[in-house]
Amino acid sequence: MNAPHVTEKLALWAGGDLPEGEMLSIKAHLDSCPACKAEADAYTGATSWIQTPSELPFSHAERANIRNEVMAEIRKSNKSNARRVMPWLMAAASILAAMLLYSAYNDNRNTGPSARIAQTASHPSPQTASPAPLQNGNYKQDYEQIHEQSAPSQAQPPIKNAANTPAKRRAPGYYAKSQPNSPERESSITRIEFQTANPNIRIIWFVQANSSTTDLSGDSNEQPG
Amino acid sequence: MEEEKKMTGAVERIEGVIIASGAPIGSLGRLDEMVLRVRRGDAEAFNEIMLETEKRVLGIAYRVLGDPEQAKDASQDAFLRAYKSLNTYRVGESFMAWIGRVTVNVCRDYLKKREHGAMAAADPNFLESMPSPDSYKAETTILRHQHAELIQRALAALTPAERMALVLRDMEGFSTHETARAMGLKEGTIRAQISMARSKIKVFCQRVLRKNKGGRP
Repeated sequence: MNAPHVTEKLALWAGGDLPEGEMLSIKAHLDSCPACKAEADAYTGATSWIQTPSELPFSHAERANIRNEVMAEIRKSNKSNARRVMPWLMAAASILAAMLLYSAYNDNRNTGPSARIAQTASHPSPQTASPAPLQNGNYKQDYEQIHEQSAPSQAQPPIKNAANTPAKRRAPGYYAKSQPNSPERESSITRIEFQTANPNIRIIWFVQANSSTTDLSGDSNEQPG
Repeated sequence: MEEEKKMTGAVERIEGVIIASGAPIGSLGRLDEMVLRVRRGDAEAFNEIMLETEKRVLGIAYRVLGDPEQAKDASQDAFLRAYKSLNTYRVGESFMAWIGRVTVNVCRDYLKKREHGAMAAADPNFLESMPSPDSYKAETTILRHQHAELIQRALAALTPAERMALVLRDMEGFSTHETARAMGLKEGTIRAQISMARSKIKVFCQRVLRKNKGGRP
C-alpha cells in the first residue's frame, strides 16, 4: 500500500511501451492503488480512442487523381531519361557497326592473295601476330618504322589500317612519308560516314581496298549533313 | 542447415537486388513482388504499389500536416520520392514501414517550409482555450467524420515532433524502434515524446469527451 505511485509511467504503460518486468510490476501496483488505477484507465481510454480508425477526408476520385499525377510524372521522367540515353546508344551502335564493317572487310582482305603482304605492311593485328614491342614508346614512330622496313620489299603498297589509326594520323602529310600518293591509291580509298543522332558527332572511316580484294569504293556515298 | 542459411541468408542478392536480413526468399510479399517488377522496368507496377499503400501515406500526411490539401501534395511527393529511391528499399523488409519513413521525411520538409500552417506548432494555451464539454453534443462525437475532426483537434495540441511520434506509434502501428528509425531519433527520445503526447491526449479526452453521453472514452 505504501508503494510509490507510478503515474509518470502510466502513459507508456497504456501503450505497452515498457519492458515486460516493469509492465507486470505496474499492473501489480494498480491492483492495490485506486488512484493510479483511475489514472491508468484514463490513459488506456485516451490511447484506445486515438487508435480508433478514423475516416480520411479523401474521396476515391481524389486518390485516383493523386495516382494519375504521380504516374504521369513517372512516365515523363522515364521519357526524358530515354531521350538522354538515346544519342549515346546511337553513337555506340554506329561504332559497333563500323567495327563490324571493318572486321568483315579485313576478313575479305585476309583471304586474298596479297593478304599476307598487306598484313605485314600494316601493323600486325593481335589475332594474326603478336604485336611488336614499342621501341620508341610512341605508336606513330613505331608504326612508321615498321612501315618503312617492310615497304621496300613489297610489290603491293601497304594497306592503311584505318581502324587503328586516329584521324590526325590519316592526314595526307603522314602518308606521304611512307607511301607516295598515286592516283590508283587515291581512287581505292572509301570514305564511310556515320551520322549519329547528335549532329556534333559524326564517325568517318577511310578504308583502302586492295585491288585483289572486295572493293567497297563503289558504295561510297557521302551522306548529307 | 546450409540450405536453410541459403534460404534466409543475411544479405542475399537475387536478380541484382538486396534481400533484407532474415527474409525468407521464397515468401516475398505482394508488395515486394511489385517492387521487383518496377525495378525490372515495369513502371506501371508502381500504380499497384500506390493502390496498396495510399491509405497509409495519406493518413500519415494528413495527421501530421493537418491540412487535406497539403496532405495530398505531400502524398504525391512521397510517392515520387519513393519511386526514385526504390533501389534503397531492401526487399524483405516491411515496405509499409519503408514508405512510411519516406512520407515522414516529406512531411518534415513540409513542416519546415511552412511558417504558420493549420497545425504548425502546438498552442500552449490550446487546452485552456478549448470549448467546454457542454458545447459538444454527444451525437456529434459518435459520427465518424466528427470523430476524425476531434482527433485532428487533439493532434493540434501537440508539438510537431510529438504529433509525428504519436501518429506513427499509436495510429499507424509502428513499433517504437520503427518510429525512432523513421524520425531519425533515439528510442528513449521517442518514448519521452510519446509519453508527453499521450498525456496531452488524455487531458483532451477528459475535457472534451468524458462528460459527453455516448462519447468516448
